[in-house]
Amino acid sequence: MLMLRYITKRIVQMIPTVFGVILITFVLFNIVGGSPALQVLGQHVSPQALEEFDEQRGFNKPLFVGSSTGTRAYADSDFERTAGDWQGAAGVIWTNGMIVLAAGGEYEFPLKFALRTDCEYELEIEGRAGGFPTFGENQLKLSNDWKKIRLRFQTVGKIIPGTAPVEIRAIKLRRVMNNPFDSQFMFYLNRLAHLDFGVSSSTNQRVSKLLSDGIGPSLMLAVPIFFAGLITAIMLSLFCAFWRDTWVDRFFVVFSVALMSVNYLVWIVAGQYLLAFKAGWFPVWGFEDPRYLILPVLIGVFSGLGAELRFYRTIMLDEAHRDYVRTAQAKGVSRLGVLFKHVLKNAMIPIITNTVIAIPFLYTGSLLLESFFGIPGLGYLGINAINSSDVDVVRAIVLVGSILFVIANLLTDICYALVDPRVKLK
Amino acid sequence: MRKFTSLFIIRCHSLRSLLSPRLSLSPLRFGCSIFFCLFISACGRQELDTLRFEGEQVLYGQTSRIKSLDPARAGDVTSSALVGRLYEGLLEYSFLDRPYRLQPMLTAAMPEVSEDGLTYTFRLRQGIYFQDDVCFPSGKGRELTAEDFVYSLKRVADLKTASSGYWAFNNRILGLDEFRAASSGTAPTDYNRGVEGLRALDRYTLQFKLKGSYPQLLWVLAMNYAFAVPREAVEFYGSEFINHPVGTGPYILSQYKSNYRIEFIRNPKWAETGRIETYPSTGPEEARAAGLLDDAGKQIPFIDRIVQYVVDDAATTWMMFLSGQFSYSGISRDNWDAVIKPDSGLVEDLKKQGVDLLSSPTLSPYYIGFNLDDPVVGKNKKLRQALSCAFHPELLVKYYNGRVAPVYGPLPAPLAGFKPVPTAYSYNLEKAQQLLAEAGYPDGINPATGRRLELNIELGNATADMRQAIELVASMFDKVGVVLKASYNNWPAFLDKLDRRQAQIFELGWIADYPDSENFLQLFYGANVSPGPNHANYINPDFDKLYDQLRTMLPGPEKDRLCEQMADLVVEDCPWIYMYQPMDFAVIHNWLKNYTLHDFPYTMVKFRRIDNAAWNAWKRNNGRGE
Repeated sequence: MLMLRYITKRIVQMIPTVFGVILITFVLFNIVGGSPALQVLGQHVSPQALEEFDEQRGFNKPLFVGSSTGTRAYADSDFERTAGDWQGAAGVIWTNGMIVLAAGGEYEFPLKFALRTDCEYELEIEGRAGGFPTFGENQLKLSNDWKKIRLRFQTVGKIIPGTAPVEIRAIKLRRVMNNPFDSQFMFYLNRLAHLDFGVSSSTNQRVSKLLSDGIGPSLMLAVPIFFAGLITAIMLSLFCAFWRDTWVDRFFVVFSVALMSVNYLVWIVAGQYLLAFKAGWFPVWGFEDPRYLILPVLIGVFSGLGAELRFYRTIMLDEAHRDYVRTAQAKGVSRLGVLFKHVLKNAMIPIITNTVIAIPFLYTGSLLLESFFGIPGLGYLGINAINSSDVDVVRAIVLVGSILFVIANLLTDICYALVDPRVKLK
Repeated sequence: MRKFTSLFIIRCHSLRSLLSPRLSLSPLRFGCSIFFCLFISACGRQELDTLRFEGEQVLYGQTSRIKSLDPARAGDVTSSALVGRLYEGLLEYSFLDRPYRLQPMLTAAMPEVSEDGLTYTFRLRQGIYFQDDVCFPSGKGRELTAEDFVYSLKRVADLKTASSGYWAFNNRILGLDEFRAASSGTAPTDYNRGVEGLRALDRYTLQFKLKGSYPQLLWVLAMNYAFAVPREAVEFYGSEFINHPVGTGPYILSQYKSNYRIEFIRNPKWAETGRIETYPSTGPEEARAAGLLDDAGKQIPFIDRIVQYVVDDAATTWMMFLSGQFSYSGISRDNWDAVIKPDSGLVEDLKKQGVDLLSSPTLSPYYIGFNLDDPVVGKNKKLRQALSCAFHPELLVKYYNGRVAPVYGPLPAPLAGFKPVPTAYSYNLEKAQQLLAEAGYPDGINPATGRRLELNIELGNATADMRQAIELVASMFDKVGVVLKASYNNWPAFLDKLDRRQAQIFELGWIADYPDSENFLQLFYGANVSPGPNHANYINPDFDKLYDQLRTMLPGPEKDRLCEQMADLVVEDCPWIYMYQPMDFAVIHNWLKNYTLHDFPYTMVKFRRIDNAAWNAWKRNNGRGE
């Protein structure tokens, strides 16, 4: 009963954590990711096609909330640098960081495509004018002093400066949103609520399909590495504890430091070139049957062994110096009995912590091993997605990973209670 | 850069090896059983083995990551090559003839063109069937009709398809633009809406009516955007259509694991419906000498099964080739010295094994573009000309071990307007210094700051190859005192910068869509500025006027003259520095036959043949036998 309450409490606490992850990944990848429209539609693209693409997929909405949003029909002017969309417009002079529309003329607003008719637009102009300029049916309330004006309109018209020239420093065009909360973030949350992770922009596949395709290979590589590594490291650490301070122990200490100092990548490249390519003992690349996993698993175990061995050896030795061990020895328990019955059992708490926390990382697999040996897992998927700014894929991997992580945390705590009667759950 | 299609083999193993002692002895039985379950479900090798038969010809190959198997959305080289196996169009490139020439594919003959050049009438072949698929009412593939082409092209125009190919039809076909406009919004697109310029006159007759003369239409119709797609499949599979191709082509998809492996098998519908295609029996003398006509008149396709793996790493690809698990590979820069001797070609060791070296220039030049919207380089023609004169293409050729050819103008060889010799703004250090002084930066010093002029180049990747090449370019600019700073982006970020016109200078290539100068000259057309393909944002009214003429002009000396004239305009204005035109290099093992390099090879896998006897001999001689 107590346990159930504890678990419920912890699950409720998870919600803000996961929401935080959703928020952070959303913001981060919106800043760094490029436009998916440009990637999908290729080089021969028109602004209108880009706008339509974004419209269909909700990318042209404000990020969180906002009463207006940009449009690809007119790029924000940067008259300090360039005349932008106004270059080539007849009679417009670009000078000193502004454009000048001479008196008496009529100037088409240079749009890349016709504006939508089902919503309003907002025009922001920073400029000055002597006369009474108009924009379509609207007055442009500019005066002799520089000032910024905003005006809403439905249909675009010509700018007519009237009797005196109009000078403009900046122009922005925004589409007015009917509902300020109709945003990309809401769109994203809504999709998540329907368990829809979106579509990968680099492979055009549904992200949920990519994840479910990738999890199997990832686990097939990571799970054997994990267990084989764990068992080897614990066995060897017991070995060290048994013969502590002898040449055996020292050999393994030196051995593990040596293993730790060689880069992961060296093992991979050397293993692939020497054992697979030169000697022909293993396949070089691929994922056809279990034989293809042997070499990556060996490399994975080997490269992780150094750090794990050192870690577990310390734990074992810590325990081996305790009073109860001396007591056990004093009452005549054999050395092996002490090691397995007493030391190993009491060393379980740090071992469990280390093990359970590592479990969620299994799901992303081993990034380098996967990409070098062509194992189509999530690590490989993730690195490709990052390289090609495939925002939906990266977001989904991070989100699923974080959920697994909080669950693993909870499981660790429950495991503590199971193995150690001193730990009480509240 | 063109992605080389490399081929390799993975030896076959049965499920028996699942029970190898190493794995079954694992003490964690639970973990182990999960492990096995996952394996069996993921691989499905049993099913695969039943497809094999005696003496089967199998082609194992490399591919890059696959973007799409939908003809309307396959814009990259990799996807186009895969789509070209599954689907077919009205016309195709001749396999052997050079210069490139089109020939009928699913049509009985080349189209009838009206005298004004505005109406094209195609007569389709009868008895062409789609592959069997559950999307058809009885599960049996039906006959291809002219309506399928009407539907497929409407689909490219549909905004909801998000096709990367609409540019090829934009403002060309009567009524198609209106169809596209009507497809906007949230309501489902009405495919029953007629398009005046795109009609099926009867079951086998297709008619195009154009807004103006469009001589490139035939090239465009050989591209995958114009391949025939059955409406039933698109409607049945919806967004999953990309994983369930249904075509008329020589192969059908048998297995597809995204990011890892794709497998095709011979389309059984061809044999079932008695469709017979043959290997070309005529070709130029060089092709005959190279043994490319040995199979003349034989029935194609030769290969029964094609298996391709997604390998991104060049070193892995090369190892697989050397160990005979590949039939074919490109040659990366790092391997070049180990493979090719400057005087004698291929190294002895590979020659002895029967490996063959192929090379051919490609229609995909690379350039350094100036953003003409940029206040520094954009408004200062002399500066651009000076930098152009400082650029030394021969050094770059040397850097690439002669794998690239220098270009001196906007068009690659052998298109009309190609500049075979250096122009007034090709490498000339003295002139560069003089122009730089005239541009207002004597000895590269910016008078406003008193320091050296610093320019920023945006790059779309950060590979070692790219870094070294750009360092070389920076050293060329350094000779005239200008500092070139490189800024590396990933591809999407790079595209974004081009789209927003924020890149001052950038490096980019262009892979020809079809072998016509117009395809390159459009990169300077004013209406195509970013986000369109004119990323230099070059606007020159004189050029635009000439381009408007060129657009509708039929091939001939007059058109060639116009191309020359336009190339001259571009050379004078220097919106680009012309870097190089790469050569396509490939090494193939002796068991792969009928392999020849082509700029548009997408539908040509049907001509390839595997010589199993030669393959087995190679394995015996090189100790790689099973």
